[in-house]
Amino acid sequence: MRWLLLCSLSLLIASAFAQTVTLGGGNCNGITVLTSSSYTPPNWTQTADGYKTICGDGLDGPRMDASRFLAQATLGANLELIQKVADEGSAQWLDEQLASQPSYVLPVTMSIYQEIVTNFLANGGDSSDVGYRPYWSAFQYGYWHHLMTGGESQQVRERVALALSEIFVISMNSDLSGFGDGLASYYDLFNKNAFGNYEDLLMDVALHPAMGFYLSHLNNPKTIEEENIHPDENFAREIMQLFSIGLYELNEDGSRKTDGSGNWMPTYGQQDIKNLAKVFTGLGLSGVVPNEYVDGAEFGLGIWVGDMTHPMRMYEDWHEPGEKIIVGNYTIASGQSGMADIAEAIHTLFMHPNVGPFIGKQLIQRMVTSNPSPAYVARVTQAFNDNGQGERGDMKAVIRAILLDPEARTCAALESPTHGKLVEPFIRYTQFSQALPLEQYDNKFWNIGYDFWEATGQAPLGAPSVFNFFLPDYQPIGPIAQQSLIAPEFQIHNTKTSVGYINQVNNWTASNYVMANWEDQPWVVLNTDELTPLARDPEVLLNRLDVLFTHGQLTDRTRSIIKSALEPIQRGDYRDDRVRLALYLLLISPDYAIFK
Amino acid sequence: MKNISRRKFIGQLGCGAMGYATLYNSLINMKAINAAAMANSAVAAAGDYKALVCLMQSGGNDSFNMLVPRDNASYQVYANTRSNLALPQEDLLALKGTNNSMQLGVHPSMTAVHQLFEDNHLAFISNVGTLIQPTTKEDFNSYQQKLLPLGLFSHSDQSQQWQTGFPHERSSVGWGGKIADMIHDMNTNQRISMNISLSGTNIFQSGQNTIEYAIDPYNGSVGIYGYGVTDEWNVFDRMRTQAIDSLLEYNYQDIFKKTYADVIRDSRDAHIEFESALSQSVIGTSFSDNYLSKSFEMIARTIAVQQTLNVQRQIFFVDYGGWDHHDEVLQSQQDMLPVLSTALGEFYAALQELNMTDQVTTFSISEFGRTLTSNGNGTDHAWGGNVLVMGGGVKGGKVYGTYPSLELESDLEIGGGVLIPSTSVDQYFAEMALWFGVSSSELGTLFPNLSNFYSGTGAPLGFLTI
Repeated sequence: MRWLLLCSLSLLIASAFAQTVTLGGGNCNGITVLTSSSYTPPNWTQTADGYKTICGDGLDGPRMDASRFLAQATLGANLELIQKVADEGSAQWLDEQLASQPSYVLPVTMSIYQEIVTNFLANGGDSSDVGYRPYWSAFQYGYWHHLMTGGESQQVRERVALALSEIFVISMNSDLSGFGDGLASYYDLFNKNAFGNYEDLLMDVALHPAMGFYLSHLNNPKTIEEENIHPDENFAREIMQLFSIGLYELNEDGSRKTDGSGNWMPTYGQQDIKNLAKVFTGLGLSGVVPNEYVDGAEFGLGIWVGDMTHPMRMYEDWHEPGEKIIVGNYTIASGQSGMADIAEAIHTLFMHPNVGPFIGKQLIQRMVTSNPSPAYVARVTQAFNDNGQGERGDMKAVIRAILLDPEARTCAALESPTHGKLVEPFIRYTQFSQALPLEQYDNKFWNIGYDFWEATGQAPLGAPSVFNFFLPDYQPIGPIAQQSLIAPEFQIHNTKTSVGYINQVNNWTASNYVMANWEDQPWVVLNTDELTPLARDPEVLLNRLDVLFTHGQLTDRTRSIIKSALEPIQRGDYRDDRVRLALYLLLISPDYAIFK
Repeated sequence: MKNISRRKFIGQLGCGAMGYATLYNSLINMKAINAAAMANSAVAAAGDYKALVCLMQSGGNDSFNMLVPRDNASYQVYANTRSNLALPQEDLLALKGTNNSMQLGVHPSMTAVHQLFEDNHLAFISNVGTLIQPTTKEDFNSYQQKLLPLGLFSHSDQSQQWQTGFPHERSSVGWGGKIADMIHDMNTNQRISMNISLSGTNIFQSGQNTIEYAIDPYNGSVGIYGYGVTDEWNVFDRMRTQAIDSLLEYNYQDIFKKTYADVIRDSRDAHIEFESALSQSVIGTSFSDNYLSKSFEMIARTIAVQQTLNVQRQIFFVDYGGWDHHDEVLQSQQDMLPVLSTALGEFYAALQELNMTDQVTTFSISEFGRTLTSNGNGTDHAWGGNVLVMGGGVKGGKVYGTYPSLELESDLEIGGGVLIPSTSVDQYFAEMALWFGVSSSELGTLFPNLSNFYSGTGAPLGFLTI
């Protein structure tokens, strides 16, 4: 395999008497290379001429490594970005990414919505048919348009944001489907906090009205005994179970602690939930959209005319008074404001030693590998606990720890048979969309993603429930479960979705529509111009696709299967056909779907 | 609009629309993951054929307007309690017999269901719901969580519990999946899952070792587009087919690659077999052109070729969702109940055509009934509700369980028109499991709380011929 060249870039050692000379990898000072032939085929931009061969320029190794890094760190990359990161180095490029300023999906969503409304009215639509806000579809359009046009500075942020959206889950599979602005605004919490502090993220999530609606702590009243009203426990349960500490006490390396009898130790009990539920009382909408029903928000007002893009506010009269003893026997004193109660509860959860391993391990699983070693998890936990400057919860430190860890970067780790993961279907979609030139008549990348969602089960904020698309500990039946390994993404890889995905790939490649919309805008299609010149020689085409999609790990067997499929295609627009078939076969192959 | 009524207020407290297919996951009990696979049933490969058809009404069906008291005294109570939501007495379709000294009727639009009942092919089970143990009003008011199902009144929790039979802990392993785990050897053909879904992934049919085979109501099984082409001129698709076969027919060493490829290969093989069998399946009975009827038609066509497919036991699942009627319950039910009723009638007629009525039992589930009292023009989440079951093996023409008094502040009413169930879903499900071929010794594994309601080996409720 070509990538091996990076790992085993050898030192050429001259005789024992002479000094050691290192050649290759760009070290070529003072060398003159003479070859018997320096023929360069016309129109070929890259050649293995004598000089490059000795000095290692243009060797695939660094590019494959960069490609692999970008597959972990981003939602997809084209050749130009891969080359840039190969030249600059992953660590340095990552630093630049972490220093970037966020850009947001909500403004894009609203701008697209305005255009849709304008077109609707211009085409004779009735203004009374225009609702208060966009639906989920505009959020999908906004998400994709932002992804495709947001620029290089957002690459890593977008990947981390998606991973966070699969932990702090809300879903369009609910009445939130009618609140595209709320969905976009909620998603932007991840864009905002991806490189910030985890405690801020947890607080922002707790106060967002979309989450308030989804887990029903919006308009959650204090106890009213006479009417048998008790605080709703939904959010209190999930903020512990899913968003911070999980069900069981954990060691730094992610393993569960056991008591004297070998049992796992629950982090909280039923009473803890009840008491924490009291903390999350009194939150209501902070505002309304222009409407003919109410002038302003009040406690109890539903979301129909609510402002779903600003945090909820506290209505003290509806907040449960008195002290609350929450997880870990921590007492929140009585007599303070509702927001002070909430801040203290969030801080208590944040300080729990479980957070590092609980969240850290899931982020490793989303970005790098399904079964990280305990030591890897421990290193990420340590970065969460202290970023090196005494700060706990610094997401930048966590992301660096995840992506630059030897287990993510080195070939030794890659060789391990338990290393690897199934690439999420949605990420396969974004990778395709960003690896190759796509075209839309007006440069609008409004993708509704509905067919893909139906076919594979995935879309941003499209999980079936608060438990995400798949559970963090899912084990598919077969050799993976037999070896006590985990592979969460397989939970949505079944007889229907596996073929559903393949048929989506057929749309992108053979049928040539990559993104569709329901607004009568032209669809987004694949442009094969970059690849068709390479299709005369399938070997060359496959080398390019290997850089883009399989990071040097395209096996000889798969390569030869694809070549055999391409060779008989020789008539008509054969190069275009070959490109499409090669892409199709590669994108459905195990070599691509499984990321090592 | 300063004073918001409490009911409207509660109605706005976070209620998801349930019109989508039930793609559910939930946190699995860690012990369930690590448990060994269930032992297969002692019953040998069945010579006979049986199918269970689970019809889910996601959202929580307002089933006290589906099954309604009609004698003057009890109708009066009903009308008082349900106020502006009460159906007119003269419109109810009269059901024969009585339950709990009440004469009952069915929603005026459900003419097919009414006829099936009168012909003894359909029965109702009344006031069924999730329970850990028999529960009184005092139990409920003492607010001891241990005695009550988790997440009462929550869609996701209750929906899960109707599908898992586990009200006491979170599980995403369905009892339909567990049955398939237990008795899958009863099917000669092991290549197609015992569990077939018309509504995608669902908890009910997910077992430890079983996942559902998802098919489409209109097209049947989903195949790889462009695969299997043999036309000389179509080089592209021929090469595609050849390459896919090569990619799939390989024993991958890497366990992740192997798992990925195995699923696709199984899907490809099952599709070929399924599509081929279905193409020979023709049913004369006509079905309405809507998602639900078409789903039942696809089920009927699948059952028609069970011999070709060489399967002896099948569990089907179809979700007809959208019942979460916090608003406009009368109009919504007027639109949706006839669709349901007609589909059941068409399905039964198709089974008669196939001469297989005795072998197929269709049953409804819904995560909860709805509040008896009105919130304006709709109802909110409640608990106990009424379900129906249909088939040749059903001792139809009767209402099982105990139809409750609809008086507010009755012994079962815990406020807001919510009724504590008097029959547990465990009893309901266990009877169908027994009929289907699960031995009584295995019922406790499926439904751990069953023994709180029923012991012995006979039928828990008596609505099926076991």
